[in-house]
Amino acid sequence: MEVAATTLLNALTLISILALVGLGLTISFGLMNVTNLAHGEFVAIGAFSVYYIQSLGGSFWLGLMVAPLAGAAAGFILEWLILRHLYDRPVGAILATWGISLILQQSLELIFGLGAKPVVPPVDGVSDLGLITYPTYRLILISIAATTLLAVLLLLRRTGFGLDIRTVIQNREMAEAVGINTRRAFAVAFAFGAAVAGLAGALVSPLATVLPQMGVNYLANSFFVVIVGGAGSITGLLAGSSFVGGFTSILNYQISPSLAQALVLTAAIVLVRLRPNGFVPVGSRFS
Amino acid sequence: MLTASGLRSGYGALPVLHGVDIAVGEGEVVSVLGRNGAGKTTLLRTLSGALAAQSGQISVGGLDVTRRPAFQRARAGIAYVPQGRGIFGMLTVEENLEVGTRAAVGSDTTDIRQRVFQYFPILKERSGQRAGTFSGGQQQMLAIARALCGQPKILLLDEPAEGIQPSIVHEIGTLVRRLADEQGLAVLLVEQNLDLVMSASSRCLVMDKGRIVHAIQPEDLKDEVLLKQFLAL
Repeated sequence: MEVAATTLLNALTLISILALVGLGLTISFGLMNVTNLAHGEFVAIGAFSVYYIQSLGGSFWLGLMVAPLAGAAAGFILEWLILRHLYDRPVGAILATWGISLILQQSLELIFGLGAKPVVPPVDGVSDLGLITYPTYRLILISIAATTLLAVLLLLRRTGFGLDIRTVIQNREMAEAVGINTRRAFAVAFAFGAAVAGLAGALVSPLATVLPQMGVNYLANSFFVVIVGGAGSITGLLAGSSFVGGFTSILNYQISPSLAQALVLTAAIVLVRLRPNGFVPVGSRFS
Repeated sequence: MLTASGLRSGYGALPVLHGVDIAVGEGEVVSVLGRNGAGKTTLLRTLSGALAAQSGQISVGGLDVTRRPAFQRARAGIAYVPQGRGIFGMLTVEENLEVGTRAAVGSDTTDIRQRVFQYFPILKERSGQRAGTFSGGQQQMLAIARALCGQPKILLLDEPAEGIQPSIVHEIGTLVRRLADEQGLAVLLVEQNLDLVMSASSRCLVMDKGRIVHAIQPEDLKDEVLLKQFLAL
């Protein structure tokens, strides 16, 4: 029972992070048809933001607020400088973002130096949940992630901007014909996805090893999340991250993490073979 | 209201329009006829901005929009209802109409929708329904309603009668005529259905191989000899 409860909370931690990182990917995949290999670096930028703020004497919470802004700024620049010229060339976009990914990793290393950076969690200790005790910080992480995802869902379903995005995803040419500035919608949506990835990076920074290359792992897993779940929908994103995150957490308890990772990815491949468009196919995007 | 002169465009290295001159005035419904591949759809796509003009000029009420992207042309007053209608099937009727108002910058959008509903009472009844569940005829009505939500000066309609039952085709013809008469809307209609063309048009143009080759009156369409000559039908 205790094991089950702990596994569940571990799974929720992982699912939260995967969903936050995957959000930006599902936006660029589903909305712009861009495979962004530099997305993991937004996570790294978020984590380094917290490290940098803390190294200046600022609090973790200040870092947590700066991280999404840093992510958004990086995303905005990347979209404006590179991606907007490559929307008609998906393969070119893959190569370009891969190059950007390497440049960003090296830049972080040049600026902050080699080696892992320490990030101090805002709270220490564990919380007593009755049945089990669980690290307090992880509970905070899960709540912030859940709140963020709920806010994103409301933004998409209840606001004019959300309606624009849902419209552009369904039919870009027609969205433009009714008067929506689709280029601007792309830029804002992309920066928004980068901001949420930055937030994810900040949230994991006390738990993970903060390195310039840290984004690569999150990128790979989040791609599986998006592909398994189906690109371009929040429901698909949640389904995909629950599958990858849940499965990984359960297996991690039984076998070595590397083997668990391999098994999860194998399961994901089988799943994609059976359901090529993911759990939530394109037809029901962002709904 | 809408004028285009010397308009050339096409797909990549394949030219389709070879210098089209066209003018549609306020309250006028101009139909474009022609065989498949004559360039009718390409003409509408070029006017709406879905396809860039390679040369020539397009203006809306005196404003040159040739180099403007499609969303700015929509805001300048060009509404486009493409072949196949381009309905956002996953959105509700209400949401389709709301995005339709994106072109009406600075206007009261609730007010616009109420006025548009007067022409389409059925859409008001079903405003919460997903547009994708509508029949072809209802989708066509919704597409026209959505176009009107942008408070356009010019309406570009591409084969609105395609795949729609005759009673609704007649309804669309009456509606288009009413919109031109009552709202002063300039309508450019591409259509193969001659009944619709005759009931709605002020005048007709015949297109062939990317050019306007004849101007005829709607009544001329009853004359089979002329039809054969112009359209080779």
